[in-house]
Amino acid sequence: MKRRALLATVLLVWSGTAGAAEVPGRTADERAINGASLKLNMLTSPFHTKALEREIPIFEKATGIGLGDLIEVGILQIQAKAMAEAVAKSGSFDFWVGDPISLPDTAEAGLARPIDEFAARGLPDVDDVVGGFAEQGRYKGKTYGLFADGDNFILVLRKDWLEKPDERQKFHAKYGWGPGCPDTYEQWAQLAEFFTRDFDGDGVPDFYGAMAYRARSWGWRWWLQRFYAKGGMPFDDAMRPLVVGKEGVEALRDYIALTRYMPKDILGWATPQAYPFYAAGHAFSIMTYPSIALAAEHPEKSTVRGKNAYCLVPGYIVSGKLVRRSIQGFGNIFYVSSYGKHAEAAYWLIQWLTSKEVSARLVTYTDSVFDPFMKSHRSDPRVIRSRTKEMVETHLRNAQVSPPLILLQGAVEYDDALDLNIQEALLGRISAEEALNRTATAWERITDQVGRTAQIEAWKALRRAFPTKNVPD
Amino acid sequence: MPAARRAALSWLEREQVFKWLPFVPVQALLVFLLLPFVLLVYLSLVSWRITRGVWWHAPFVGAANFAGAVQDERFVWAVIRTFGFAAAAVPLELGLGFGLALLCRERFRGRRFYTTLFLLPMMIVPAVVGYDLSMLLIDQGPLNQILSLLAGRPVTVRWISDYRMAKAAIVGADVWQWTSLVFLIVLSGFAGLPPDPIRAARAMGASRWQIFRYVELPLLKPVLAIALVLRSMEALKIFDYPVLLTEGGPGNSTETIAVYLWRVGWDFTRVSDAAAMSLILMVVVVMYTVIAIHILRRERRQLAEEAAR
Repeated sequence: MKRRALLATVLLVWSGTAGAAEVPGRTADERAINGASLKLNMLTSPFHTKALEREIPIFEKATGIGLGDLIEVGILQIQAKAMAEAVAKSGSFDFWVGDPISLPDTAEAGLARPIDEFAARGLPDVDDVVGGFAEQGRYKGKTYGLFADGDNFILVLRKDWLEKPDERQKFHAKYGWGPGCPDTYEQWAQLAEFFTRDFDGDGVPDFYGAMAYRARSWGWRWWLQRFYAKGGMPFDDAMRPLVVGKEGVEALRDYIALTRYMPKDILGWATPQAYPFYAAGHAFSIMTYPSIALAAEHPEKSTVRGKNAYCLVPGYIVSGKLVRRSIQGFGNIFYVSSYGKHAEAAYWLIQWLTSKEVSARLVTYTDSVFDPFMKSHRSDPRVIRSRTKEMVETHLRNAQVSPPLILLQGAVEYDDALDLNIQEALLGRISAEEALNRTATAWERITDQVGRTAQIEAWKALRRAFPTKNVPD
Repeated sequence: MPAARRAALSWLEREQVFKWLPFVPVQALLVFLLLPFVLLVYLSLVSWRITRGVWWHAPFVGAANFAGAVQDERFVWAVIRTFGFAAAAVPLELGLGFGLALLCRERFRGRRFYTTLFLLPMMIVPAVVGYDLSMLLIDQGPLNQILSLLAGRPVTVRWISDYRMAKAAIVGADVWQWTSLVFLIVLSGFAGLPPDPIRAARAMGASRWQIFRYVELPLLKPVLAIALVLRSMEALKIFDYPVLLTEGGPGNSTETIAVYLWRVGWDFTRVSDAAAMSLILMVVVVMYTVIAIHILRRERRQLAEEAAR
């Protein structure tokens, strides 16, 4: 009896499996079309998974090309994972979502695959990409990736506090201007000072005037933005570091000074801590990635929904003129791996994901952090609904003055040296001058190790990606 | 029986073949381990970055990478810091693990529940521990809120952003997770204690403390030594908590050797430098292990001698 039951079960399971394998279709040619499928493996950070898992099945339904293995690593660990694949050449993923910083290294290592041949046939929507974003997927004259995430910084203020008549009056009396979106960093510091409040008088503020990232591996971007707005450039034509000048030191001193109006723990915070803190109403202002709007305008999780003013990033007065710079603080690009088995299929998938229509859907999802980067996003009602019209307008205006990060071979090491020394200065362990001197020394070593001649050429090419206008239109 | 099979069996039964055959897997394993090691040594002697073509074309630079490593202040500090973390964490883990094992060695109601509870931390993936702690330890987070309730005043310890406290947080994370392992080892040690010496001591009128101090503790020494060696070697590889809790910061206050090697090799793509640093670290760890094994053997020898007497 038992044996019979066992046999029946086996038969049932077998027939079920065989049944599941059957492809729908009335005729052989229909079944052949319906049965054709291809699974592509993807490397990404968890910040993008949910949106992509929602969209890729739509592509699969239409083409049979879908998502196979999903390899998730922390957003700062993508470079390490990619470089490991460059050595292993295992083909463990067909495409990946990574930042522009890693492009020079992954291209030189042979992992990032040039996609010009596919793009020439596929004609992706690059013309709709704002400003110099599309350039960030290019290296040494070749296209390696399609841009997918406009991550230039934005400044957000608490509009409800700005509109309080008594606050306005007191502020004006103290600083001589009406509180609002600041033009300069000095004005932002004044706002931060004024709006920092210790309601219960215990010596610890309950409402912080400013927020920005100061954590290890993140904070250097906020300094670099100030440095660029001061008119600074990291290297001269011979790749000699220029950070140890007046611009660098002043930018670093200002960067450190503003930190006194931030939560004391800010040196350990990045997005997972900063966004909920602002959305919970604990801070007056935050300079960060544009995805802050998803947290700040979240219908259920935000206490400050509809109470935010989205501002152009402040700048510095250089030679009598205001210069604003909104740095591309991270940014994400879809790259195709040279070692994946299905490079062309991967390309078609990433072209679809970065098209006007699909990218608009991606930037709308509140559980992922793709930010608007196309001109068409400005008027897309879905994008506006998730982020507000004011935010999208301001963000894309900021993008007009968005300089790139240091997109050279060894970029992660250049950035790490800068970041480490900036934090040491922030901790008060060394002076601003010393921090930048140490950075310059480290940068010289890195340039020599990578090869000065090659770096000079790459730097000359990168200089073309810097904005030429001082302020957005 | 077919002739081929007969011939094969007769070949296998030859003394020379039979004598060496069981060692084939060991030799294979040795080759398996040796190859990456040889590759590591090779890479440490050439100048290769991942971005610079294939590794076998990299130029030979001799000991330059080793000289560069010992001159690299960040590397030297990472080594010192890592040993510092281990020196702080391991004694705490040994003390706490031993104490918990002592509490759980006797039978009492709920013993199984407590034993399971104390073992739970080591079953959690370290990366998960690191991520969860990064949320729990922010200065306005749950841990400080609990401390504030207990203290009756606001406690705002900056566990992950203060230069000193971040180090304490890393040590705390390691202690929280790996005290379990020491607990398990010591509990097994208690379970395996021979009953005769204890009975004899009791019969001779020894107090509970005297039995513990002069009979059980000496018998447990090898077990404790094993726990010490295991935990020390693991603590020297500490990686997940600094990466997930602090990214090695603030500054480089929590950058351990594993974190720095990972950065140099995979983030900075300087594989040859990372190889040289790994070999230097390996020599240091081997020296430490040799000393630890020597101590372990000495303890065992002394124990055997005492038992013989």
